[in-house]
Amino acid sequence: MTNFLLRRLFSAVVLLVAVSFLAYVLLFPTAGDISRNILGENATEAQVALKNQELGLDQPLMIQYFAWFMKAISGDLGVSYFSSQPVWDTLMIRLPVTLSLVIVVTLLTGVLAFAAGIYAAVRKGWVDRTLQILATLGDALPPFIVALFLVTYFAIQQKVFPATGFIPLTESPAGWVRTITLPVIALAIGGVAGVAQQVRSATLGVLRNDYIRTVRSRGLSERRIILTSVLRNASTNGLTSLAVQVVGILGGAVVIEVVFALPGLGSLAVEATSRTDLPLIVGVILAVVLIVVAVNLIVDVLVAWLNPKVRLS
Amino acid sequence: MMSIKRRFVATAAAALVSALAFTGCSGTPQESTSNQEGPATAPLLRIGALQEPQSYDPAQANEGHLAPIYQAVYDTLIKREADGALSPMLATSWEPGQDGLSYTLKLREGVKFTDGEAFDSAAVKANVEHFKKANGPLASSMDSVVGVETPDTTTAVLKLSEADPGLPYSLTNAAGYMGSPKALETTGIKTNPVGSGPYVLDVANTVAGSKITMTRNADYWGDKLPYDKVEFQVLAEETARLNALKSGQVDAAVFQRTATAAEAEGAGLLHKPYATNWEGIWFFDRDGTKMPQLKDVRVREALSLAIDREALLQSVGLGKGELTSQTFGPATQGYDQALDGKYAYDPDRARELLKEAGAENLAVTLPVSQAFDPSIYDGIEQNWKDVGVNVTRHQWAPGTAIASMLRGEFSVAYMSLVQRDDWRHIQLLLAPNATWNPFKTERPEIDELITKAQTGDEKAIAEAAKEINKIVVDEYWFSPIYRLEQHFYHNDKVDVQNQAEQAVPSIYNYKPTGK
Repeated sequence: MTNFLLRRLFSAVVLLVAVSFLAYVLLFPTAGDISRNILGENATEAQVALKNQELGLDQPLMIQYFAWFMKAISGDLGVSYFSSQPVWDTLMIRLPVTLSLVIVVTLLTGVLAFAAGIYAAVRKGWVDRTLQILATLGDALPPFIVALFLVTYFAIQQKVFPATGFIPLTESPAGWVRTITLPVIALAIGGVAGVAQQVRSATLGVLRNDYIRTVRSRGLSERRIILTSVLRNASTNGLTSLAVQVVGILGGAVVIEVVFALPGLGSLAVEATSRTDLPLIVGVILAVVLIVVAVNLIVDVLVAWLNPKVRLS
Repeated sequence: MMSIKRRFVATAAAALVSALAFTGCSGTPQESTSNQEGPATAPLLRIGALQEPQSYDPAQANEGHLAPIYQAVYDTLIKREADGALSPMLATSWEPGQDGLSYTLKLREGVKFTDGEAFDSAAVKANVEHFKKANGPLASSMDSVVGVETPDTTTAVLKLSEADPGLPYSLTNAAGYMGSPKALETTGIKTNPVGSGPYVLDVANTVAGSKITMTRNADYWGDKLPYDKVEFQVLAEETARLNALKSGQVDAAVFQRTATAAEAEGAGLLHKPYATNWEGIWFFDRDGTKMPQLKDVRVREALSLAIDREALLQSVGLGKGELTSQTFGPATQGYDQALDGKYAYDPDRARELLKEAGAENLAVTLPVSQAFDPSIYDGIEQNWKDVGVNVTRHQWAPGTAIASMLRGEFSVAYMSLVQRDDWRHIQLLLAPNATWNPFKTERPEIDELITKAQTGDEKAIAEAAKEINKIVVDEYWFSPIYRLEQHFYHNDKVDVQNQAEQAVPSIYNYKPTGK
């Protein structure tokens, strides 16, 4: 297990370095106009040239990347071109917002999807068909359409939830719930649908196994059978699917955070990209990669724990 | 007191009188206004902001959408009233020297920065020097200033390298924001402003990227503003801004798309029509450096007459604006109403002109930016194709359009800019070395007029602006299309006065209605 974790950690570091380099190289061609964007339409060419010098943008790409890299390994991700704030500080402010969304949506998706999937597989018949239709519908609805509908109805017409903004959990738990409810619903709908279908088919598969028949013949209650024998075996597929969904949720969060003006990593990514704020873009990308790596690691460990057959070597 | 325009003196005086009447001259504004216009004070004003400042260092301040945020914490040397008139603020008067190479500012006494430091001539000197060194967005507005003399604590003399009629205006803007000299030298100023303005930043209740909270500066020297607290909610996305305004989370917000404005109107939000920008086609390459045919004024005329302005105003601008053929705004001395209808739609004449100029196979590259409604490009492209012009598009990557234009990469482009006062308009767009004259078009007659205006009085500037405007319109330097309305909307809890030459109202222009 330790060996496995060490290997995963090593590949994560390699991934981070590779991603940061790619981000630099790919974004650099458009970075030439950063100084002009910072200074605005009134600035003279001389001012722009001076700013380029200040920011080190007049240096060759490789030298700039190397300078960034040397600082980054000591934990200094640089300073945003547009907010004068260290990138690290900005990420630390934005991360809780996105993590709030991702964690709540993931937990909610997990619980609802497992419940719905298992229920559909066990009950079959019209319950199953209804759930299938709802799942397809949920899968097909883009989060931002759901978001716009939710805002229009619940925020503007009924005024039960705020249309925009975010209140941190530490400041006011009730406020936090109010501000993330609509975004969470918008993000969860597609995820629940997708994962529920995976869980349903996995459960159906498990239920067809001989050992279930054996367990049944012993007279155990159906609930007991589902909780002990079926859930454990069917959850591998469900969890893997959930991990894929988390990556999707991160993508969806970009749009949702913009629609609800939540100050998270998603809206930060959009702002930073539209302004070609290179240090910030690279910072956001690294943070997102880290989240994805962490989620995959957690799921791998969970799956191994649930299913000895895929125990890690 | 002396200001650059005579009418400014009159309006400034009128504004001052009304300001004094409004406040009862005594710093007890509540009593005098509470009877008819609703309460004079209110606990909270919430404004939907497009962006947040990149730094609270006054030298890094920018104008437009950011102005009210800086105005809340920093006073300027000179104040710009809602109608554009200049009036005293930290400087009680400003007087140009005989040779035009200096400005003498008389400074208000008894003003303190929020860190307890005194505002005096030494503070002005420190701010000017800091501003020039910091290379902020508006650094060039102080280019003419070479130094500051401080004969006594309440007098500061700005020394100039050349006459600069635009300087008083600059002192109402970033160049005029006064920060505590002690704080200017620290990096803390970037995130925590120290000025003498009506409000102070409430750092504990400010969240980067989300919310800026300002609370009253208890020791403010001037007339209190009506709100105890001002909150700028950073809502970069247009739909989020509209939703926040519709649901009552903010009291006021500005929109960029006409369709959003129509939706805000439909939701019963309030709006006072006014225009700050003009927009249209810019013929940057008037001398034919890159595109030889463009040197022929008949080609530029043909491309202008081919555009169906009225149709574009109705379809793209939903009729919310006025057609124009000139770049000078109606509030300027250079403006001539008769010129507004000059470039009337006439495709037949456009075809004739192209034929006369031997440019029947004209090919134009039209660069496209995401900043504008795509249908404006579609419309112009169709209009030009209708008269036989071959149009190729170039899509700008996000955030590259302005830099690309100013590097002279394109002969022709669609762009929108604020209508500034005569002098700054000429300096920014029309002078041979102007930032927005990337191909450096130069006409001896314009050079002469500029020199006359620079050293002459305000009448000389007005006359020069009129003549320059006529030359530029006759020569088709631009093909302006319209002045679109600014889409600033608010609810019935606030009364807002539009600010001349500014995308959003200044912080002084808000008043509670008591609803």
